[in-house]
Amino acid sequence: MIKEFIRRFTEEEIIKYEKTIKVSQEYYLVNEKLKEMSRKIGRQPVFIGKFLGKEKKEFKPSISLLQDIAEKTEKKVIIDDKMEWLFICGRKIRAEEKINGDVMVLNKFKECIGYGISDGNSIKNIFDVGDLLRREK
Amino acid sequence: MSNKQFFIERYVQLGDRFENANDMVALRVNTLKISHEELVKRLSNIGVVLEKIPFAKDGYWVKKSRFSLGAITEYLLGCYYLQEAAAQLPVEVLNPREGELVLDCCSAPGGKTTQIAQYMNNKGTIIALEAKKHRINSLKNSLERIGVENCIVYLMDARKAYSLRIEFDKVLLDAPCSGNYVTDKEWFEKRDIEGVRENAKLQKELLKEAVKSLKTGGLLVYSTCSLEPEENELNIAWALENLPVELQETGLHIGNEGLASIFGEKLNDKIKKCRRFWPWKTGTEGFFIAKMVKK
Repeated sequence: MIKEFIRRFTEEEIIKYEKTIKVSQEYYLVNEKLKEMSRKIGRQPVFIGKFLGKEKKEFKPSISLLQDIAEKTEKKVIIDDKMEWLFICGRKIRAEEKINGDVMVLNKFKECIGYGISDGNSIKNIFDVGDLLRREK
Repeated sequence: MSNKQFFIERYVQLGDRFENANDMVALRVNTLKISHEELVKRLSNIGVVLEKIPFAKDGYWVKKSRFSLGAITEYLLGCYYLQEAAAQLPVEVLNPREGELVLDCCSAPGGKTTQIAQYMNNKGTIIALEAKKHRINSLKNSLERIGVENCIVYLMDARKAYSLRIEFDKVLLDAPCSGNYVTDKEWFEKRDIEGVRENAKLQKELLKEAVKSLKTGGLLVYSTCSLEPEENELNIAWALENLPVELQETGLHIGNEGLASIFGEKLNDKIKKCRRFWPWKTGTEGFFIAKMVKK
């Protein structure tokens, strides 16, 4: 699922898939040192290495993975402060650029705050970093 | 005598007075993602005024803000962690470095775990334990938000830490404790001395296991946000008597020396190397830090 998700935005190899592991429904990028330590300890961790995202009905990326994809993809838009606030509150926003389909949404500092689907007029919010707060409620 | 009078009486007997105190909102810059200068500038541009905390390496008081700092983009992207000023100090004392193997015994919700990763520059390995399942998600969210990549988390009681069969370079035991009246306005109504003693018993068990998990010459930092000597100086005195550890200076200049005399009982004078934070003196919550090395 993670591969398919990344391919929606870029064909470039963002992560080394051979270094990823799955813990329950979550994907992690794990270096050799951590892998060895985990083997030595011999217990199931609940978090290990760099968190990439979670799959349920669909794949939900981590903040880190969003930044990694946003750096490589052409499918991105930069929005202003007002749009940024609306977007991280989970709202649909106006599309300033004529891009259709999947699009990464970046703020004026070029930080990725989520992604959506654009029809050229508006961007429907599919996922934003405000999710971090909502999931704690 | 009311509960409040009982505890205040104790603070007076311990050689100090009592005053009501409020801690200030504070944050820690996440240097994995942003520099101090950049964060101060960005927040200033949206009307947030920060003041450097002189005794906390990456700490700032939030002097003014028109909105909650727990809901803006900079927070969500992990540019900072909202962390009380005194609570930023145990990891400074621990001083974890790149390449080390560090155990964080009681890690949720992740303030100190993320700080350890930050100081290690995401290199080396952190093993983070958390005993309570309902706290695991907040820990994982913190690790994700701050961008921690060198940590393995286990749902596990740190009283079984030695069963990991790993010898650590450094161990942080920020122990579950009774808390203090600064951060909990109903503290005096909720707490009693029996509860304090129960916590002290659990802390001893954790201390024993933490020391077992350390390599010889390894460093243990023990901390609580309690003012009660049963959870602090008396536990450290017990550790000096019963575990292969010796106390070191913390290197901190904020706070007072640990108390070497508790309600008439004289303790090992080395307890003075610990650090105790009376809220009305430090402007922080109540806190206690001890630094020990395994012999």
